[in-house]
Amino acid sequence: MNFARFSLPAKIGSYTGLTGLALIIIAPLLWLTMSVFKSSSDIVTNPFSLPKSISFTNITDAWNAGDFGLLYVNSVLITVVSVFGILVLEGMAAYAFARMEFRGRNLLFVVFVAGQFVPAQIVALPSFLQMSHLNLADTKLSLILQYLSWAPFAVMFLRASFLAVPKEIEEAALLDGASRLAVLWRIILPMTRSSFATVGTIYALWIWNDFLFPLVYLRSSQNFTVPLGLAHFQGLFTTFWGYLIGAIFIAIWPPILIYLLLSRQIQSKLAMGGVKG
Amino acid sequence: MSLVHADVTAPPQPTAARAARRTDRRHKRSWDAYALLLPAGVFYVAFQLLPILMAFALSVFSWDGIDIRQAKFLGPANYVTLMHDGLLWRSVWHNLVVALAVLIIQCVGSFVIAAIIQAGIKGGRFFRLVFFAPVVISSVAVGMLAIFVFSPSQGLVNEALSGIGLGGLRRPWLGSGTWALPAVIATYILQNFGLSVLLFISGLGQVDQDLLEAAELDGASQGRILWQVVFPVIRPVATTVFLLGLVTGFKLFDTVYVMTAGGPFHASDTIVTYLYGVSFGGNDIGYGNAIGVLLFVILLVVAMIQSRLTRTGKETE
Amino acid sequence: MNSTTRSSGPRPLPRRSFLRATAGAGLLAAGLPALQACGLTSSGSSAATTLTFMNRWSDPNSQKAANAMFSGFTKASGVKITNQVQPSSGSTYQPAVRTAFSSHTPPTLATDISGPEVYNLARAGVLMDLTSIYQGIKSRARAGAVAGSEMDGRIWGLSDGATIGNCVFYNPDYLAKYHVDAGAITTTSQWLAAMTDIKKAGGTPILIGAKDQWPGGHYLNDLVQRRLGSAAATQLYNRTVLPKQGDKIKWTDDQVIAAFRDYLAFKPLFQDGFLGEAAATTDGQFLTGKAGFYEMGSWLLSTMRQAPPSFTPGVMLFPAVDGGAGHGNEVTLANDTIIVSAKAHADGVREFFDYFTQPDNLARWSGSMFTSPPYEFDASAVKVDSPVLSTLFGRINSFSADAGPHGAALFNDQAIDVNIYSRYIWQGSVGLMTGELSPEQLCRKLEEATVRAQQKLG
Repeated sequence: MNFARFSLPAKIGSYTGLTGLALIIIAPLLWLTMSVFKSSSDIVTNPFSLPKSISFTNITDAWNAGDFGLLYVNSVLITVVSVFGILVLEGMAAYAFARMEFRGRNLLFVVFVAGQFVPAQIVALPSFLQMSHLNLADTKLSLILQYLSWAPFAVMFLRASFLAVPKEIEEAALLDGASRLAVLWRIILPMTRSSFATVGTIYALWIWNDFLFPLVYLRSSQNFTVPLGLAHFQGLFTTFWGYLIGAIFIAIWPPILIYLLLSRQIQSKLAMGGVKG
Repeated sequence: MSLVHADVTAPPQPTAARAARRTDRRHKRSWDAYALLLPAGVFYVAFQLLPILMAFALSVFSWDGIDIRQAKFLGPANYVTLMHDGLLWRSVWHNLVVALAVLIIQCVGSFVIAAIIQAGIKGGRFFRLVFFAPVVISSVAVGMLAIFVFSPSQGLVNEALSGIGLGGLRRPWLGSGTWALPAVIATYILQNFGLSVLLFISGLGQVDQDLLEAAELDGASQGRILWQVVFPVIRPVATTVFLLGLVTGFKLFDTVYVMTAGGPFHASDTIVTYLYGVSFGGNDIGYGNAIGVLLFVILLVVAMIQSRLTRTGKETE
Repeated sequence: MNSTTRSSGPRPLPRRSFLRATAGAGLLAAGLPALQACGLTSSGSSAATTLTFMNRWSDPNSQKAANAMFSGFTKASGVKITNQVQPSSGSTYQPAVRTAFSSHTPPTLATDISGPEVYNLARAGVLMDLTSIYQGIKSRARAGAVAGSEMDGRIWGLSDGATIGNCVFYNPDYLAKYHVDAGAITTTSQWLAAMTDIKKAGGTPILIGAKDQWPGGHYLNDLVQRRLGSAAATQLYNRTVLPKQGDKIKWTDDQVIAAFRDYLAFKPLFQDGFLGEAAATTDGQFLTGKAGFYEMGSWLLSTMRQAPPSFTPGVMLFPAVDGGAGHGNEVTLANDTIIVSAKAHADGVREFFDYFTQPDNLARWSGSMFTSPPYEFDASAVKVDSPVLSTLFGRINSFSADAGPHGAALFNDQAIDVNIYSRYIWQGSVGLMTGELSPEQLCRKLEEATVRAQQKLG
């Protein structure tokens, strides 16, 4: 597919459409960034003008009030450990489903995948009672254990990716006398690296942004994660929306900045893959 | 890629002597396989399946969430209520609308966008960055931002409409029975379509360049190339994207709850926001779980339909 | 691609994979203490001599006030207390309290709304009977200290402060532009007439953040109380949560339907697009002088401390309704109650309540949280830094004093069964405004639900 070969209307349409979409996404973010430097009353009286003076109060107040430093540490810890665990656990399982024959394989696969069809909202309470029984209520570990059980999507995706590796390569290596482990490690994993990166990224997003399980499991603020911190600023009756704008700003920009910095890595990993040569 | 079928053959056995060990090896492989499944299985069964089963079991009880020993067995009463619950079926309808919007706008649209970017439009990298950026943000934060954006008196949407002379199109977006759900859907799609774009781009990267060039040299139109060369390679990614879109669309909660809590007057209720209101607003955990079971069944059906539709053609995917 | 050569063909894996699996399990077992070390398994609740206090005082000012109160308590009594502050949103906090009390590690104390939430927890047996503790401080208690937490003659919670729910704040400068004097308004018909004039002159008479649903619930609360009077309104609400209440007052009575219809009279007066506006936005718009009136509870003072208004606000109670049985000086109380876990040690709890109800501490608490704790303390000792807020707070406190012991009713969101409340008052108020429900229809649904509730309660 070559853009240069698109017809003229297609080219114009493409540029207009994509630019329009980009603007729609950028505009609210721009508005947020502009508003966060204004005073509370200025946000309401002049929502669309540039700030008269740059004030960092909304950000610093929200950061301190929400103790976002600690929240970020918690979120990072939980996310990194969970994602790493998922990739290892589900990678093994997916390989078994993709490359091995065994009794009950189809049934077990369906069982593994079926979990994603149940909404987390009905699982949260029984799961909490379970954690409470295990004396793990209100701990970061309880969250990690829960996230490590999020098998369905990873198993599905990684299995498909293993299946896409041509068997001829594998068989040739096995014929040459390589052990299964060596085949897995030296041939299959490098070829599916992009899928692992994809699954890792998706799960990192899901886990980082998860609101329900931290809400139900955690009670002590020292264990809270970033999304919970945001919720502190939306009271039932009172909303300190100077703080709220500051909190939204804090919740939004760090992930975007980190993504922008890492995007080179992520892009190349995700674009890689396939069987070349 | 279909849900279950995979074509796995044993390595070729050149000598008769080794053939005798085939059954042996398959037997051993069963234990290999189980061993590989065990770690993931332990976590999955313990912390997801068991609570799920408990939640399903609770659907025939009446429980207010305080002391589980005081839950009362009801039999099928919750399911009878469910059948007659007009508001619930209205929510199911809303989810169907969401699913349709996600399929058509998000999945198809993302593919088109990915194709354009992959084809080399100028600024492709910029577009990729901008489209994916909202994906990394918490949907709670996006929902809160959207509340400001859709504010009738001073939100970006209405102000922009007035600014370009379309002031007549101003609406009380999140307070309108007709527009609340579309507003929520628009927010959800704008936040998430970047992920689909990325997945499609990675899939498109697997297209065989030689074949592409050959087709172009042959003078085939871009459309024909898309159909014959690109689509077959894209299919597994497309299936993932579609299934993911459908499942998350049916489970939609965060965005809706933050923006409208299902309002105004249930106009934007999804199955899960309705469930949440029943379970935690109305303290009727049993009935809420019955709704959860219904959602599970719906999603199973959706997945099976999708699996059947994508099974046509090669079995190896 | 290199192939690794081995002499004896593919090696059998079972031993290796089994080892891998057990290694994994072993890692987990060994890792647990390691995880404990980096705080992964630390929960907030620990030793027996430490009290844990779950609450929703999550906004920055309330957190400061709460932490000050807790450290004061520790200094005075030597008992440690941990502040377990939760996100304040009602839809998440109430369920969190229930979950917490049903877990193996409930908090020692928790704040909660009075009324059916407390009754339900008490009935489930997870609360400590506070009757004897209450006897100990009864001499200091005023009316309202156990409102909504007394059941079957036993006390299950003690109030930590009440806010007044049916206030109407106004902007005298804005009103002056339209020649409206809020002080002269005593009935809703006068009020509506004045607001109609403002609307005709192109102004914004009144704001509401109806998208959030509870502001509409406020109006239904205020109007029902004005039409029925506090005692009758309370009787009506009690039918949804207490057994054997009879049906002397029904939702389908004329006065109640009239009250719901009264709410519709406000529709043309609210700002454009009010159904889609969040309360956070309208708070801000009122405080920056964009409208004449704003119905809100006295907790708005906390918001004002955070975002000082650009004018000097005035406050009045929701006006009387012509033909209604209620008086214009009756107040709606939003009572915040402290409940105690049945598993707690009574001594530490007794010390806490003793400390909390000391007059000096009450005065400090009142000024920082803008609540009126229903115990004896010197109102003049209450320090509020801003003179504007001080005046407002004094005026609001005079409302509850003037109302007298029988002139108060619990807020409908506390007094009514939560299921019925969310469906028919919260959601219902929006349905009224969108026209999907008529007042008669809504009242009929409420009555049916209440009758069902009475049957279930026996």
